[in-house]
Amino acid sequence: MEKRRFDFNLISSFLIIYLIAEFLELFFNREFLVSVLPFGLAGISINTIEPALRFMYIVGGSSYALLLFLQPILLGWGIYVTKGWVRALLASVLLSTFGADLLHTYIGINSTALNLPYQFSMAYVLLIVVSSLYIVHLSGRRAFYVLLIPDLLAFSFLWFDWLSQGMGNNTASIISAYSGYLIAYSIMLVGIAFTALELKRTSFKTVSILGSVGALVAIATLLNVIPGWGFAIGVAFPYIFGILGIRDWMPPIIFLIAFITLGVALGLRKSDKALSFGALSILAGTVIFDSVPLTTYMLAPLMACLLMFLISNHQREKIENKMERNVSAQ
Amino acid sequence: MANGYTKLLVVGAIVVIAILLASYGADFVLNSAAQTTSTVTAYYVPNASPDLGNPGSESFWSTIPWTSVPLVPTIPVPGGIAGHTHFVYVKAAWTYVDNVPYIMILMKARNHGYISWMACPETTTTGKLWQPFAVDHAGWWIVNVSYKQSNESVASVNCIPVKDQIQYPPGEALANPIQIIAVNQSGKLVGEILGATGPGGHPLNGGNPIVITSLDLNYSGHMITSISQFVKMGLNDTTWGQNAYNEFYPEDTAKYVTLFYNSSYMYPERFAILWSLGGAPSDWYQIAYTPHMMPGTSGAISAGQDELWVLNDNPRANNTQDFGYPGPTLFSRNSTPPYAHYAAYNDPLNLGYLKDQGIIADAYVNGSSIYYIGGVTFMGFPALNTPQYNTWDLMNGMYNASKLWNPSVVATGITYHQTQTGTYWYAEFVRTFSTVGVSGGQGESHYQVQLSPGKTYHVAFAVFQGGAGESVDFKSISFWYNLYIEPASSSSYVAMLPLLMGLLIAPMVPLSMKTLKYPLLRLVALPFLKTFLKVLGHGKTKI
Repeated sequence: MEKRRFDFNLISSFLIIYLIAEFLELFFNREFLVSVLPFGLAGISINTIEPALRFMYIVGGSSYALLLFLQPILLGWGIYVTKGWVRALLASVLLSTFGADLLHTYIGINSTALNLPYQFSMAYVLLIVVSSLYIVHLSGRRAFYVLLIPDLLAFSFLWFDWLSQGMGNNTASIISAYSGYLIAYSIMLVGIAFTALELKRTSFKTVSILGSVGALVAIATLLNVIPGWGFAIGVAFPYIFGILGIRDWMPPIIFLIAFITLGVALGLRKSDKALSFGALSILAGTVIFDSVPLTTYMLAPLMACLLMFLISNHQREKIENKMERNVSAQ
Repeated sequence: MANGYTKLLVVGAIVVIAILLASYGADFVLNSAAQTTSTVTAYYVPNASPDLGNPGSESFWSTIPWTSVPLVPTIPVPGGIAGHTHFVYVKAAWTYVDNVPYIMILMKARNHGYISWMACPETTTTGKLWQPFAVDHAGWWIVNVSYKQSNESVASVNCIPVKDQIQYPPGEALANPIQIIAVNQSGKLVGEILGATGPGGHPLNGGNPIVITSLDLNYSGHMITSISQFVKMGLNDTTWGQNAYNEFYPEDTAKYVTLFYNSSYMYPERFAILWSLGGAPSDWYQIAYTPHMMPGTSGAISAGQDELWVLNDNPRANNTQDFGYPGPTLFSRNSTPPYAHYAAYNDPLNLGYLKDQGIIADAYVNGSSIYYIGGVTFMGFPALNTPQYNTWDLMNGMYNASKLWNPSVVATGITYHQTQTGTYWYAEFVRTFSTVGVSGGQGESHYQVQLSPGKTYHVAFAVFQGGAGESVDFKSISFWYNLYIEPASSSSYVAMLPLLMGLLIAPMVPLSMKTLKYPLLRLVALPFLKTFLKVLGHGKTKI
């Protein structure tokens, strides 16, 4: 059977739209605009500033909605171009996401009555995890396993909580709680590990620039140079990025590591475009997902893996085609 | 080439349509993603009976698992004092008493620092009192006390137009209570102020009376310019609000990340539960991750509206070690609470009147502030109370306490146990599912969560380690959790499980069969799968 192909530019365009939507969703949401930007600390009443922020809520809301639309398209795309178990796993994810979302819509989007059976939630998360790991395995980029660790901990936090509720088990609940507790630590370690693994292949210039910005912000946070600065940066981690396990001393360090990691991911775009874009997507996806269990957020890590896989696959095919053409020409 | 353009056109059209749909439908779509939030289940326990003198000891709690809830600091900054509590453990149950359902929630957290039963005024490490003012409705009763720093024994008292009063949030003035009295000195009437404070919150003139040099008051539209006129109008010994100025305003909190405390100066230990009252979908609720107070405000919440149950061990615990009890709640340890149980409110347990119970600070929170429910005037936050009385009546005690909104609808118990792994606090909350009718139709229940079996509610938890210096902005909070009230009979959502699991498993069955080569399964499932794959457009796929 002939392999199905898409033009790489289309994948690229799609990925860029997806990435932009992720970052816009991250910074144009109510939490960030109202709570992290220190209006209250500047003596500006939230009631006064809210009308001016309304437009930005629309940007954030639309970005979120865009992600909601793009994810099934991407999954469908993945199903179309893959085969075997990957296709089956992606189809399962797509169908069960549709099922859960349609059920939610049927019951009423504002209804507080919906409580998905915990067995389904557990199976759904397992499916996302297995699909993500399998796709990373197929893409052959081992560094990506490292980037998945905070997401795996966040899934573990949810999974064991559901297990605890289903079985009435205290131990499962404790595992869940410690999974959440470790997320913040894992983010720091993962950033360091990814940097160490990819430092040789990335652009030193990009890392230096972003690292310097990160260092400046970290020092300003540490010293609370402008009253409210430390608050604004500090509260961003649990409140905007949804990171559990944050402790008082972490925000400047995480900020520095995050910027360096971002630099490494951006710097890889020439040497390994698939890993670069995948890493950027998981960075944006991780910070919006973490422990917020909406289907849209839960799918974010899988989407990052899938994007990386599609790009990687296409690059390989392009090289193969080129070689075939060369052989024919000879 | 043409093929490439066609693809670009198709993808471009899809993206444009998606953006348009996203823009127009954002408000709806925001909430369409299914949520499978971490859950605390409130289990149905027949004949459960709370023992608030010894919370957590009731036998039915032993059958319910703890949900371990990770907490994060409210203000995670280096050197900050927030975030001592890493986990709070939660159990929930419900029962019927004479056909009236009651919710019971038990919270457990490890103690950090000293064991505190104190409620000292919050103070910064530089000795500055934290926001040294109370809050009252803005109005003609708010006045300015002007004095010279060189001589605090004399001052003038002037009315302030409402628009010039310092307000957080708008409509609520920062003010402290003062009394204005007239005394006869050698046959001459002299006006005096009692209880006035300076910008730092400390008593003016060393707490001694301050002689009024000039008076310019507005009593509900009537101007008063002399102390004799003041007395003639029957206003002698009345309470007014001294407008706070040059004080420690909410926005000033940005300069501080810690509070002063030591073994003899501490803040109450507190447990809090936040119940979402909704109002969120149109306000991007689902992308508001953590239900936290916004720094620099008088407790405004980041999204939607909520009811907040706060149990502090001084002055609302009613434990023998709670020497602050009764607090500013008109509650007494030795007499029957004055609040009326209206006939429409069905509460056979008679919460609020039990022997060993404490109560909560019941608060309503929205994007503007925290509001105490059933509060009187001059508390730490604005209050919501019966419309029967205006602020002046409440300030001057001109009300019948039984007509005020009932602040005691949630009964509590708090205690601690020392174990080998540390000291743990146990806090228990009990309330009727519904509070409809609690204020005899005046509207109190509109600010309170109304519960039903089989429903799920958004809740969040918080712990203040008062013995480790946590108070005001500094505490540990959870993300949103669901509290699911398990029906007495099985959940209707269990019926959806086969459908959802079917969707999840179906696409993997063909490959599983191929891999397993299980002939019987193939025989039974093949016709179904062929149809299924046809629908999906995979008719040519070989099974």
